[in-house]
Amino acid sequence: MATELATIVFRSVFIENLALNFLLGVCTYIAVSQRVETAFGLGVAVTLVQTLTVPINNVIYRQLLSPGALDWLGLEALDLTFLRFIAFIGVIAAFVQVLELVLERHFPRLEQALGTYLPLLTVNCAILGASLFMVQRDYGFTESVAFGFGSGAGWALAIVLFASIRERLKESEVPDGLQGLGIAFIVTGLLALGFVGLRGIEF
Amino acid sequence: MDRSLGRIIAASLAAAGIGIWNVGSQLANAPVILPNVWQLSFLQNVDLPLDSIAWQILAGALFFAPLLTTSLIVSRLWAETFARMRGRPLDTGWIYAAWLYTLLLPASMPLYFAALGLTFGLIFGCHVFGGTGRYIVNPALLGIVFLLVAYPDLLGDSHWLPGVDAPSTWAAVATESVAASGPNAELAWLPVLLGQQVGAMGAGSAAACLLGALILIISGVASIRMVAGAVISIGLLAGLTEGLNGHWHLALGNFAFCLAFVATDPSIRPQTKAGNWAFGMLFGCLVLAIRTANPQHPEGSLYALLLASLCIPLLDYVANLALQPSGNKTTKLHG
Repeated sequence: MATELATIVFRSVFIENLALNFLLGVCTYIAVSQRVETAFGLGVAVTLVQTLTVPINNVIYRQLLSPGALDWLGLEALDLTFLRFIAFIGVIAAFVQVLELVLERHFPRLEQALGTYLPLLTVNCAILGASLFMVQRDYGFTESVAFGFGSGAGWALAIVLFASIRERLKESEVPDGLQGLGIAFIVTGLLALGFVGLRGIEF
Repeated sequence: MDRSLGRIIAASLAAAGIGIWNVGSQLANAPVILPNVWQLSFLQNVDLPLDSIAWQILAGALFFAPLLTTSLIVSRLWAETFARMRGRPLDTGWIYAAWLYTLLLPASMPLYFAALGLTFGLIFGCHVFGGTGRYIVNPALLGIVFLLVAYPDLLGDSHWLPGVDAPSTWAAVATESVAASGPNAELAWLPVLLGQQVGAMGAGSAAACLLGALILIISGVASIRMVAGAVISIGLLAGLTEGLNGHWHLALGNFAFCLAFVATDPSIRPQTKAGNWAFGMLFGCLVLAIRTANPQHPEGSLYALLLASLCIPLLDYVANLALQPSGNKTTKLHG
């Protein structure tokens, strides 16, 4: 069990990285990576949200939404899976609200630096994507905790690495047509290529 | 910058020479030579004994020279193109990139694939960032990794010698002996270290590469912290894990070559002392992790160095943060 969980964490951080491999959450990834400090803060926030929402969504999905989950109420053959998007988004939105309150109270500078991107975490596709992958891959509860943490940490790693490279890029001279988004995507591609060597490692 | 690049090329001359001779001597000792390439049919008409050093060097050079010429032409063309398009002087690193790239190729690489890989490496690794001194990963390394990912058969575990189905020394040692306690008797450590390794042309002799690293450290191009960090970390980790010992890891594969000539690239070098230590150690750890735990990419030095190079800005950032007096950390968020 421990090695299985370690494999899930390792895979979701390095191999099936949400930002680099699936290109999920790229809008925030590009927008908030101007500085390492804010990128790190956002990465921690995303990791927190993922670690909490994926297991909660797992419980909701298994106990309420999946086909046959409500048998005990006499509602056999009831299949509520079509509600999973709205249910997952609801949970995520609630958590982002809580996170915003906590940050506002204790880390006002980070909250200011993140600006509108903090509430926008609600509709961050990496966060919803992790919950949907959890359903698709049929994870149990502990596995979802591991996956939620791993996918969040992987996204955080990607954005922090990316932000540090971007700070360094201020010294480089990118051709006019590639400045901004163009070079950002090239660097993202290089980062993805950098992690290819770890593909295949198993515990 | 230019002088550093020149020194790296000079320091790698010994490795290149032994590597070229090594290709020839592997060919002379190969069990079956299939004359399906022009070099081999040409060599059959040469009036020299197979075991003479002259034949072996000639044979190696016949494979090395066309690849080097191709790389130089491609590198020069892209440097000229970008210089003209952007109205800048010619990029100074074009010889360095082509030279390293050629040394990292196997002798059996077809010329058009060599040109393709270097093109990718130069455009996306060097010129879009503004050229030498401004890029974040070594373009030669990026070109090789591109070929590894896109055409794994060309740089796979066999076909290292043209026309001969020869596994690389890395594959021979690793597959036979990682599980057992030590490498088999046929492959002795010292000859492999000195220069009888089948693999990339420049990586034939790990000893020559390490000598090059020493020269670069003395001449001030390479950071002793980076080199020491990599060697110490790979030695320590190899002692802790099962499988090959540290001295085998040092001698095998591309590790020594990458450490001496690619990781010392002045354009990517970490700015801080702690960053140099961290970069070296990260490189060593990644090499060992990929080599021991990853059956898909058994010789992981190239991937390890690519990933470690991409981490350099972050390592520098963390090192700077740790050096700052604590009062400054919070004020940075105001900006």
